[in-house]
Order: sequence, then C-alpha cells, then structure tokens
Amino acid sequence: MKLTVDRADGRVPVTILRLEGDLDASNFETLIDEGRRLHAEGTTDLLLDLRDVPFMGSSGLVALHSIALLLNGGQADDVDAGWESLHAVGRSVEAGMQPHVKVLLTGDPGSPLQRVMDRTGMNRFIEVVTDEQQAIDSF
Amino acid sequence: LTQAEVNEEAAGRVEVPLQLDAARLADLASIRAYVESGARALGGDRDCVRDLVIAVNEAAANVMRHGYRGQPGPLEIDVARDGDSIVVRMRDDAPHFDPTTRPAPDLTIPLEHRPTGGFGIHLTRTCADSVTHSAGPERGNELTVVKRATSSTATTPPSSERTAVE
Repeated sequence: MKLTVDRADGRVPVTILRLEGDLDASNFETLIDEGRRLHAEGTTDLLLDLRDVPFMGSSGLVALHSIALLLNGGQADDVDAGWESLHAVGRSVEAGMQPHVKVLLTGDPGSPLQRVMDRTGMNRFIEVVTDEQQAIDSF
Repeated sequence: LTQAEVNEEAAGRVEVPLQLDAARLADLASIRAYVESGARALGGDRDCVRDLVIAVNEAAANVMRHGYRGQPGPLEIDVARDGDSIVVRMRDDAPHFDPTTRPAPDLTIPLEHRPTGGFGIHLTRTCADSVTHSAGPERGNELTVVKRATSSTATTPPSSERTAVE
C-alpha cells in the first residue's frame, strides 16, 4: 500500500491522504500510524482518497474509525483489543456522522469498498463522497 | 452461450485448491486473487465474485488473527460450482471455532443490549447466501461459503411472471 499526502484549501485547510493498493489486515496499522502522524502535525480535516484502493476489509474500517476518532478529539482504537475495537465502531455509528474525516470513493455503487461501508453502517459515521473538489469545499 | 448453457457447462467443476502450509496475513492478497479468478472461471458474475472475495477474506483473516493467534498455520481453500451456486471451502488446523454461531452486531439496538460479535464475521455472513461450519475430530475447522453465481438466471422467470403463476 502506497500513501501520498497532498494539501488543499477549501473553507478550511484540508489534508488529502491518497492510498494505492489493497487495505486489509496485513497493513491497516500503517494507515493508523500515518493518521496519528498527520494529527500530530496539526491536521484537523482529512480527506481519505481511496479511489485507488481495489479492496478493503473490516481491518480497514478499524483504521478509518481510528483516524476519525483522533481528528474528532478522541483516542485511536486499540488494535490489539480485537473485537472490542470493532464494537467501538458500532458505538460511533450510533453517535452519528462526524465532520472531520471524509472518504473519497469511485462512483461505482457496487464497488468492494462501497459494499463494506454500506453493510457495516460505517457510511453513517464517515461521509462517503465521489467528487474531490466538492469534498474539499464541504469541510 | 446463454446463461443457462454457461451454468450447465460450469456445474460440477472444481478449481485446483490453494494450499498454504504456513498462511499469514501477507497471504490474504493471494487468497483474494484465487477466489476471484476461481469464482469468475466458474461463471460467477461481478456481484457474486466481489461478495465472495469479501466473505472469504474476512473468514481467512479471522483464522490467522484469532485461530492461529498471528502465527503461521496451514490453510486450504477450494472453489467449486454446485448448480446455480459458487461454493468456497476453507479448511484450517486451528482450535474449533464456529463463526456461524456468533450473533451479528445489530447497529439499531443500544450497545448495552447488543450481543458480542464482530464486523468481520458480519461481513462474511452478509456477503454470502449461506455459511456453514464443521469441526474436525480434535481440532481444525471447515467453513463452507455459498453464493448464487448470478443475481438472475435464465431459469428464473421475472418476478411479475412468478407472481402470475403463484
């Protein structure tokens, strides 16, 4: 998985983290570490560009969730906590949409990533967008 | 070829099994590629293939992370055609664990009343038409994941016709 960081200015400064390659249980912690680094550097609003991620498993959801928690003033999931971190995902879904992290996907409604976001309800916690400029302007 | 002819030609075929003596998380990409190519070769349409890949990826990751506790372990996977369905069987040598008995996380009920369970297993079950488990004599598990090959087949009349017949 390759990670690239870009910056853009909408109404607020937006960091764009672009991923290339599959996101699964073998590498999701790399994404969490990058989220931590960006947060420590002062990133407050983050657009995760996943258009070049062909596949994402539930571990990827934990990574997205951890980064969203960080940028909304919380703590990242404890990835060693196993199912408990996934239960935390459920709690956040109940809490509703958070404003500081959004996910950019292709417009394919049947894509593997869209399926995973839909079927776990994560799209009720992290907004899914398909247009980069509109996404930047929406923060 | 009509879809029915494709189904008939593919029925009963089995892809060469994928045998991993020391499966680890880095093998998940190979497992996904195997399931994708096998299911497609046996006549699975795009939705079927995508759902099977998600379902098997989660099941395999679960075996590696929890069954083998992060240590390398044997894993064998095969893909077969059974009538209108694609069938993926996954065998491991981990302690007995039946994911089909784990309650699904229900996001509509309060956390304190919610049963335990994870999104990985939830994804496996929601992406498949059926998931069944059988345990080995002392240890080891076989998980069978079944998905209809096509979302609509030539042998299934449109719903309006079915309603008229019923």
